[in-house]
Amino acid sequence: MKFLIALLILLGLSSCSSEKVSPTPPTRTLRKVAEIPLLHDGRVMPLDTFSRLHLLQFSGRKTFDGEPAVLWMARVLFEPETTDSDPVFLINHPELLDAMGVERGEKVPGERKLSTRRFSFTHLRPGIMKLEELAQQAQQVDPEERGLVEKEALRVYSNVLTYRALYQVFAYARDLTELRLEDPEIREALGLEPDQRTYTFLDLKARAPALADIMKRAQAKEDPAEWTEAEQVAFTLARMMFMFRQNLSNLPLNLLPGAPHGDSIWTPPLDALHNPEGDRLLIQAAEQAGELSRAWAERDWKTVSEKADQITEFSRGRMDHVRETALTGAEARFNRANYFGKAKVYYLLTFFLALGALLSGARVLRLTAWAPLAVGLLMHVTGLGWRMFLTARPPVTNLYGTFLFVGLICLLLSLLVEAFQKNGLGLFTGSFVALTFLFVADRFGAEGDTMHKVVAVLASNFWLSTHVLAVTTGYAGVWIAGIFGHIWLVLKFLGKDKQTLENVRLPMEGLLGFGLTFAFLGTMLGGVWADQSWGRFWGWDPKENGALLIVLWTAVVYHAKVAGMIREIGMAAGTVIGCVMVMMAWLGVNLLGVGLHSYGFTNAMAAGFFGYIAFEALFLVAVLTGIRFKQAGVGE
Amino acid sequence: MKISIRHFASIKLTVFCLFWLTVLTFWGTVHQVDHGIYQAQERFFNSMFFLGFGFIPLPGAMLVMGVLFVNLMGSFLVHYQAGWRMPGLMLIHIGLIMMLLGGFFTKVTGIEATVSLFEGEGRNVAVSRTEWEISFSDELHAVQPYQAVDLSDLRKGKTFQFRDSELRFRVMEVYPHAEGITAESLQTPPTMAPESAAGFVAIQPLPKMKTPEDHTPAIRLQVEGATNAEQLILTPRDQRPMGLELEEGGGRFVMLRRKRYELPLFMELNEFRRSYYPGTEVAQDYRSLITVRLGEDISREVVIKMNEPFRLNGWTFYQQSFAVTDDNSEMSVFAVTRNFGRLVPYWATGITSLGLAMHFLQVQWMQLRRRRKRA
Repeated sequence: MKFLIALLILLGLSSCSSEKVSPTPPTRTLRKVAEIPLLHDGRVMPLDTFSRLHLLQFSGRKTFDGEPAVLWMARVLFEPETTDSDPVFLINHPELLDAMGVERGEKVPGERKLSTRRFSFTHLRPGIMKLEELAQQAQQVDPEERGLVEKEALRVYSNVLTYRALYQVFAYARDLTELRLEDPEIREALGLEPDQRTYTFLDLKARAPALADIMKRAQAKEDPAEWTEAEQVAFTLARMMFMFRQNLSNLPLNLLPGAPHGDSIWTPPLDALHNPEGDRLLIQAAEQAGELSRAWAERDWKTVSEKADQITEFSRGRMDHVRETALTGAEARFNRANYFGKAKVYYLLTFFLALGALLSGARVLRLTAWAPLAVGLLMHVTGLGWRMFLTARPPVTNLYGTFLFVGLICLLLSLLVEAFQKNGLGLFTGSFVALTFLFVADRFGAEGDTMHKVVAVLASNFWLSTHVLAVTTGYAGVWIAGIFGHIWLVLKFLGKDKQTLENVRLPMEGLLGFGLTFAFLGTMLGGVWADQSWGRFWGWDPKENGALLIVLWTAVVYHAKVAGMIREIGMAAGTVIGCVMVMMAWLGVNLLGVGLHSYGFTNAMAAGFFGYIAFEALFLVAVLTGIRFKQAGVGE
Repeated sequence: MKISIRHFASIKLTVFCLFWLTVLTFWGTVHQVDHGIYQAQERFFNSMFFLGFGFIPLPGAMLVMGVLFVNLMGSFLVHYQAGWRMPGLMLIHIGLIMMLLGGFFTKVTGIEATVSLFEGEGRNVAVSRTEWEISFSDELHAVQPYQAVDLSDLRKGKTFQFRDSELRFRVMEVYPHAEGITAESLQTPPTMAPESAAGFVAIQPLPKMKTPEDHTPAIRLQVEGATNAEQLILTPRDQRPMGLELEEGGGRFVMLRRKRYELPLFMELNEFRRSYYPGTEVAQDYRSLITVRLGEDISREVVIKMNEPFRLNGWTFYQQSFAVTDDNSEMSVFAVTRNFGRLVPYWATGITSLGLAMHFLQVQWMQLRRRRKRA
């Protein structure tokens, strides 16, 4: 509340020149700004990643109206008056707008455009106090019992607060337009230029010694009634500067590293300006950050570029022992390259070409499909390689990473099938699964930083690259076997010939064996890791059980086949259920929220998970019934 | 005889066991949501039988794994000749037999306990997280020597006695999780109030908790040979041991406490260090610098940290967690285990995985050859 009041007070002090339309900076300049290092959520990242994370958090999108996230963030930071009218606040439940007393169907004056789900700060402004009240009420409710609108109120309120806090990060370098210093005595004492009529906090801070002299002189007088107007103004100014610092400290942009070569304590620029150690270099860097802000507002792109370089160099020089600080340029380039997005396009092309090849039997289509597949695969592998390089970790450290990795392994396994069969089936399944998993990865990527630091117990590259990779490779094997199982059942239903069915059955069984081997190895290596970390091999933790379910189910299917209890149809149906087992191990256990491995899980993802289970159940019922009827028909 | 072995070696029995284990694993996992891991373990995984839906007796995982073990052994004996042609299969079965045996051995002989140390503090005993004992000693605050009887060995009606003492105890009530009842909370106070350090006159059982660490057991004992007590109630709420005056003169002290294990070393915490990722509360690293004393003259400095435990003579010491007291003192908590069969699952994993890889490669190879021949 204190924070909000402070922001509202300062809102009036900050200048507003909403007439300006901002021309974009040259690409080179924007890239330099994008590469500026900062500390967020425990790791050093470029401003570019910070911007993407925040825009994603606010709007659910990585760009704003075609504008790169970093450009939008630069506008928030350096010329915030231009972003108030941008519809960036995603509101999933319109009931919240009603509760806030905000009109949803009408564009408010100054708003850039009207959207049905995203609203500008200007649009929400009349209901902000009500939103605060709703958020406070929601805070009182047990998190387990909060309704959708209550959760939404908390989320949107938190986003609005963050936005307004980011808005103020460089307020110290902006003109305090409401401040008038007309008294000639104080103007002379502070050494203000005759034609200067507006001042920034930085201007005043530079004149703090002169201000202190005036105040000392005033304090020497016994009766405050004897103070001159200049002395009274000096006290008002000092109080205002104190309030400014107090209210705008700890804003959420840790831009500058405090201690050289020491612990990674990074501070927002205003706090750096007043660092208690009186670190001159840090103060200078904060001033440079302020100059960057001013230069951006004045479209002085040369200075922006220069100051961005200086800040980056300062941080890299101070934090040369923290690997990520030197890699912010690389991370920003990785973000820009969008390898996984490009891979999706090529996989989609491959999918259609392979589908065409399968349906028409045209060899040329099948051979052509290899070209986009090769490019997509290169993008996929390069993207994973970049992530490994940037994080100095194996490819899988979180759920997002598992989808990238499993998608790749599924693709490679399918290509192995294609290499043997040369009929387009491997290209079709591989591109389909890789594409699907890259889309699912996008959903998980929207949850936050995908290259976040791992907790102490997971910070072991040895176990991350053995247990985790083995078990996820197992997921891939069982999953792709299940995809072949789906195809086999559909072909059987369509009454395809024995040879066609055999072409699907053989890889299906082989891949299931591959999946079982790696799922078993991964599960047991998990036990070994648990033994190394916690002193027990097996604890029936949900994630352990999930992996065990895959192993057990696959073993059931194999043994039932050997025992003659099931035949081809049962085997194919078993691999389809194997896919469900994989999903339960992979995502389902996170729904339970118990055990040592549980991660966060959103309602939307839970709905997606149950939707998937329902789909598989319906698929099996439909296709098995269909096959049964067909067989009965043939028998008659 | 041969027929019965073949029955045990039935692959249909394997399918049934594996399928039922799948069901139990799924059921037990879902059960954890409302009842916690411990209760799920007790009901589904550590049991021979359990009641499904409250009234249907169903086989628990212990029984199924036992049957599976016999089935595996039978299968191994009956089909070993085929095994030479399918070496992968043989390795898989050997590995799984080892895995089941190792698990059983660990369950029967393994010890799990904790040692909690403040900086500068040292200990040579570990305390169980889940097991309790009744300790018996000559002195009020005796650390050692003392005698003890495990609470898990005591049943209603059982009698026990300690060495060098005429005192005899008979168990009247014992509960793994219970609460004590004071005289004030009873409408009619008992005619003969038992002695209790916490002032309880009766005990009553409570439903089990989600985690066994939270259990507070209680026991009511009948005492023979003491002049100051005919009945005793012991609970974890007792702040001090109960003093018993012997008829033959002298006294002894009894107490219900978490079970102690004597360690083969004396460990002293020199320093506890923890670090977080900057600006967050996400733990980056925590570690304990300890001095291990193995006798009068032998000592060594050891660092125990996450994923890097310290091992000695079958005992392993893991960095488990830490606590900070109100006066900002830091306490490091170590998980301590003794498991002589620790490496068995490691070997079993390697052998089974190798077997699986060999088997599936062989099967694929054979199928490819068959197809080529046909083509």
